[in-house]
Amino acid sequence: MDETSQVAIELNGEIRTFPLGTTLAIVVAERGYDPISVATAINGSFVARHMRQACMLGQGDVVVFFAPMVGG
Amino acid sequence: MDGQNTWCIAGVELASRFLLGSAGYPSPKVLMESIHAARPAVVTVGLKRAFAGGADNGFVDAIHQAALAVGARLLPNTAGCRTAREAVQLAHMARELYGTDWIKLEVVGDDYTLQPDPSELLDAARTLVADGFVVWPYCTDDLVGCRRLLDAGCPVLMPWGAPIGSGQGLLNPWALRTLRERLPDATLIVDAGIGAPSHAALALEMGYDAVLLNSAVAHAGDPVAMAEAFRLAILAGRVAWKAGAMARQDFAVPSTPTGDYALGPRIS
Repeated sequence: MDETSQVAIELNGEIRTFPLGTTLAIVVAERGYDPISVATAINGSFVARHMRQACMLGQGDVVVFFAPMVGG
Repeated sequence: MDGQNTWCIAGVELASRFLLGSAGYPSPKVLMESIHAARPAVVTVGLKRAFAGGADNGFVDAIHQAALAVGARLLPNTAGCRTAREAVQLAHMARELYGTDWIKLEVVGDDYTLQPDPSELLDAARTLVADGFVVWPYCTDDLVGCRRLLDAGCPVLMPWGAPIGSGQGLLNPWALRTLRERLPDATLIVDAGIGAPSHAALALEMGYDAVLLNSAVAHAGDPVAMAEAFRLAILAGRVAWKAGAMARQDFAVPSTPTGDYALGPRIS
């Protein structure tokens, strides 16, 4: 697979490469998350659960996952 | 419940005036037992970056179970945000994860005091209200800033008593009293800085509608017992407010009606 058919993205601080056309939904599944257990953001903007399938990742995108935790 | 009288936020009736944070407990079991002892109307929760394989050791499950058992609602926060944009994005993620429009809005402007940034806070509040959120802003006791937040559509204000986690109590009672007097129709909650049940009781005695605290219970020697102590203090403060405290005087007034003097001449 040549470089033009791949995109490098940052996942929670780690650089990973994926095939061009990879969606956010695919990445969520690849990471082993239950889709309803995490919220997602790309480049600092929230991406709703129902939008993940249509959200194609681009070169250099920064993807962050959030999960529930304790809080004050 | 127990004479506290119910109160409402955005049409939701709440039976307790105790709002409890869920962070910093030594174990999920202690957290769960503390929620049971506190019987809060609201339990605050947060969001964290999720890393593959990163578990929370059962704390989130404990919150859900205990909150359900005592009838408490969850209030997610935007802790850690420094800008309005960050807070807005995190609020949307919280809404999706927790299934609630309620958001405790925190936008901090100083790392040493964790003081809210009034400008960013107001910007975020306006955006989130427009997006359909019920915004609970963590703010300072600045009267004008509080008015702006009410004007933005926040149904409640949560001024600090003291910096978060400091346990110093109500550092500026005058400012808090002024807020209560100048905003008589606003729902006011003291959030942050409460360290002892007496601090919570004082806030309720001043006419505050509720208190939100976390560290004072979580970091107590016996968190479960402290949760119970706070529950009783909050109840006492509320009943005292309703009863109406006597007016303070600068002179003594004898409580026993003995007449001008008992045996000897009057002392002048």
